[in-house]
Amino acid sequence: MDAGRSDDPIEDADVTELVTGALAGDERCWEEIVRRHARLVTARIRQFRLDAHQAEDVAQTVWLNLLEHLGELRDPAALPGWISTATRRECLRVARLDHRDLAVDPQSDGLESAVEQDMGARLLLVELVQAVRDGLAELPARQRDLLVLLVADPPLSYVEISRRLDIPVGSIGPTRARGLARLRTTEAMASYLRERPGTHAGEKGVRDAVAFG
Amino acid sequence: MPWRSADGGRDVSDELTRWQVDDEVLARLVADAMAQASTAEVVDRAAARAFATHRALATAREELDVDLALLELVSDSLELAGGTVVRSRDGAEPRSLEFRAPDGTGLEVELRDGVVEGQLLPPRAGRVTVVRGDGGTTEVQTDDVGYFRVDGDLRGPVQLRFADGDATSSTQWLTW
Repeated sequence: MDAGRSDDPIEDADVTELVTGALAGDERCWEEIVRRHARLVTARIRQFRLDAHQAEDVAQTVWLNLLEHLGELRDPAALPGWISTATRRECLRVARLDHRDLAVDPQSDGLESAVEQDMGARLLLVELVQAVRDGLAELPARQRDLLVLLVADPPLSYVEISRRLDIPVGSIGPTRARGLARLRTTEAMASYLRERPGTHAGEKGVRDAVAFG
Repeated sequence: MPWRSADGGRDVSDELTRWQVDDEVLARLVADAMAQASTAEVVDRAAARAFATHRALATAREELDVDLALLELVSDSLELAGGTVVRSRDGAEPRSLEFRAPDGTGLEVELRDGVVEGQLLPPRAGRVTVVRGDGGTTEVQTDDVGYFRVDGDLRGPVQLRFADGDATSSTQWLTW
């Protein structure tokens, strides 16, 4: 991933060093542990489509429990699995508190593997979506604003978008197409594809690439 | 397929490649980018708050020279209930939880409408502390058989601690 060592000793520290530092109260060590693993929590929360308030509760609960357990961590390689499983369990609890019908059957092995295979893909999706976000930042403001307004929630009418951006309604479609085409060629998207060779359209490796978890 | 994902069976793995050729898929990823950024911010903010809470509690513990034994969650009616509806926030049914230490001691609690009722196991007198995600605490004395009750709107991360004489134990954090 990284081409070389950075100038920041925290970024180069191994997990054991970070854990020791975090437990001694060094907030930068904790922030680095979080930076390396937050996508696992984010992917789970998005898998369960929790609202912002639920997401906050789940994330804080997971991080608090991780801090309680950090001192017992013997195998740093086990950390991602621990975080992912802990977040999933907490997401399930919160979703059930909210009376959500998840159609989840804990007896079913098939379900477990379906959920976990889905999770593998979702982790890749989190990275892809981050690349899209970085790519959007590379676009000219007008194209970026249009693409973002077109996916606003709740949706905006073309007339409203035309008014806000001061462009004719008739040019919204073509501008969108040009914006999306340009987004595909941004450095962020190119970099995403370089780092994940199995995800090129038409390549066969993507199913294998997502089959972890 | 009997199972569907929480977001209605969206085929995520398909989207990992189709965005390169399909404008509708890429536009959906743009929508995801806006939503994911806010989730990621929430996750980061929660981590900072968790660290502050943990440090404050750890410092207090060190000052009091208290070692905490961690209790395992051995049952949660929300988990037992599988995907079926268990009403714990509208008063229809309480949520019940049981925590145990390796030596068999522990506590049972029931949550209903902002009220926590519970008992130490085995039954005996002690002090129970409810710790909230912001580090705030509420402490109550149990009766002679370990029964306790705490009123208040306990939502978000909560941890229970109890002390009986020389030993102090704590549950894991759970979202209430």
